[in-house]
Amino acid sequence: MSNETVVATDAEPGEGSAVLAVEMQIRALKRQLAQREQALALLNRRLLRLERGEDSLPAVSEVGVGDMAAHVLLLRAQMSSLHDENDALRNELHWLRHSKIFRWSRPFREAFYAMRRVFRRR
Amino acid sequence: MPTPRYWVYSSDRGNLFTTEIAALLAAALADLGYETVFPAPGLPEPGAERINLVVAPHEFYPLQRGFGERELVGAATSSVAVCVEQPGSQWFEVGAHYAGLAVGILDISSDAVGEFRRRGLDATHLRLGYHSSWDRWGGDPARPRPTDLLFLGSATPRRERILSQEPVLWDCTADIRLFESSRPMREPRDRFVASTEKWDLLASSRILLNIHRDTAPYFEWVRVLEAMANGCLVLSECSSDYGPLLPGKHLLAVPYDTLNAYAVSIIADETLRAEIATAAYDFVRSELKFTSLLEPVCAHVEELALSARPVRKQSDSRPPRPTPPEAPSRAALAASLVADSRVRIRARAKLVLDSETALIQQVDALHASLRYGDPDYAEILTTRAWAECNPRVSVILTSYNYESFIVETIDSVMSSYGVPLELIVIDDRSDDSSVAVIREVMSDHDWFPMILMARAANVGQSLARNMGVARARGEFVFILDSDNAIYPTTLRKLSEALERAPDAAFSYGIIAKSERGLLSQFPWDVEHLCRGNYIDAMTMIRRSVLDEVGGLRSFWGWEDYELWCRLAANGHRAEFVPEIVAWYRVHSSNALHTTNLDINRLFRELRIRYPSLPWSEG
Repeated sequence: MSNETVVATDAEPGEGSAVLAVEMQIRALKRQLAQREQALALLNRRLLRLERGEDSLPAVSEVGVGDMAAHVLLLRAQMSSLHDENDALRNELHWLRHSKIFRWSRPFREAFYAMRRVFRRR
Repeated sequence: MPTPRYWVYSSDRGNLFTTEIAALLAAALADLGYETVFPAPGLPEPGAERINLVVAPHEFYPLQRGFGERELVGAATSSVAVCVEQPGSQWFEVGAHYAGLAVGILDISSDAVGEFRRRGLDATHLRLGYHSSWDRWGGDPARPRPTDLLFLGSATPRRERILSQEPVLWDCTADIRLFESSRPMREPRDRFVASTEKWDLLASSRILLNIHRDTAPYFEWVRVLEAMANGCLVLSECSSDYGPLLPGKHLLAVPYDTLNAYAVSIIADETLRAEIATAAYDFVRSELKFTSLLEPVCAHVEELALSARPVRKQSDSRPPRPTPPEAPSRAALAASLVADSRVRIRARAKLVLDSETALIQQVDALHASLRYGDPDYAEILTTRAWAECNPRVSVILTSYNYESFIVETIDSVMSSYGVPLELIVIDDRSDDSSVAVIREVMSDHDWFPMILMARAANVGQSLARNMGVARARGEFVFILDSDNAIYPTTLRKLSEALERAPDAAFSYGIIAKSERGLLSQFPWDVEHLCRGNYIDAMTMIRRSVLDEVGGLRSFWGWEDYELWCRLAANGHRAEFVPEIVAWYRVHSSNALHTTNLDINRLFRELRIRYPSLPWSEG
């Protein structure tokens, strides 16, 4: 079609699909991480309120002090487990970010093509 | 032959829930060695050798046909009432009336027992407990639990608000079974499950999310015990009546605003989940066995039956009727007149708005014809990855003046995984800088297969979507608006649903509405559809089906509803994914605020177009 424009023209055959998969995986992991961190932040706030005695546990229940301590311990266990999960996710993200395939995507790829264009002109 | 000792009555026209309680009671009585008749026929009759147990008197007596009030009162005075309704409802009052005539009252809730005693009626707590007929798990730790999170319950605004709160539970395998609460559930339907099917579901789920239907903190004992009997962890919001269960040991009881956060964390921690679920399973089997709990209650019931005295004198033999609506006051009448005129004004405003939009579209089309020689001219821009991709799903994103939201929407599509996809953006001649923003996104993400079709003339959402569908290469198309967004697993889950159900024309999942509730939360049901649209446009449709029925048609803001009706009239159906798959941004310029203005007119038009659908009378 005459009125069509392609944004980028420096295509390397076969490279696209691999970069696409890695890029999308990274984004999905980031969202997963964001969801976990949101949960963690909420639980952390709850724990702080409980520890400062600003909140009773739970407001309408008949749970005693012993149960409250058990609850706080449980909350700590939950948070530690989420921390571990998030660390694992972060490691995965880090690995993906530094994988060979990713090094060839933006901005490294752009810099490489820019350099190549300069050298070709010479 | 000796007369059976216990006769257990429940209405065959009542809710399944009460029939299940009656069945449990009958099974446990049989376990204790009593001759039991269930379901007992007709009305309870007096007899020295028999004890009549009427489960859910609020349903049993009012639903009887062919008996006068005197016969019902006679039956009530020769029975023990087994009440199951929570205080505060009109049904509790109806049950309390018949219970007041009975020789004894048993109630499954300790709160209700307290309420009866406050009224001077001697009631006994019938604590429900574990029964082996519920247990489909058998304590086998190796049994797979493919569902991470299960919710069972009627749809109420409160429950929907809590389910839609942050962090939204998209990163798990969920099974959210909400059902309409306006109709009694007499048989399994609309994904409402009972008995074996329910227990199997619980035995296949890791967590049962328990949310109260309203602000009353009553603990849903039956559901909780059934979950525990099947090794499913109960994650509940705080309640008033846990004992003897211990929160933290046998279940998790947390404030409602942290429910989702706990769910996220517990899904990530199978060891802890299994530990609590197993502790609960062991506890209910050893300490809360229903036969053991029922035995002393039976002894008490025997004493009551011997005394055969009603728990209170028959001062008033008329049952309370559900309160009729009061005659409207002058103020209410005036308010309703104002509301009526508002509706009329809004409907007229909608007509003016429609004709203004049509005029603008005509002028736009003329401009495009003069300038480019084609009223449908669109500037087309593709990313480098566009040409080489082979998508399964084509996401059709229409853009119109949402420059502040569209980047987030596109980013949400770019975060998808598990299915090859392409993104087709049709800008319907936005007046703001949407096109520039989209161009920039494309330039920064040339690895992503994406095409922008920037129209020179505004044409309206449905025709813009059709333009995108014409360009789509995927077998399935997903419709997305530029102010909404999806989660990374959405496209995979919806496309898998279509692969699983080859007879389904489209699939859809639940949409969280910015912590204000849910959309598209019920399964496909043509009768439900004829009462109003409950399925949002964010759906995944087979491209072949869209081609077959002629794509989307302009319908005054109800294009999606028109399409569902057309598909239903053509014998198509949808596959429902019971998980939260997308979120809907509520803001001042939502299409919802400018549509739905003249509902009667739209319904009339739909009835004329699709007369074969089961429209209700009137």
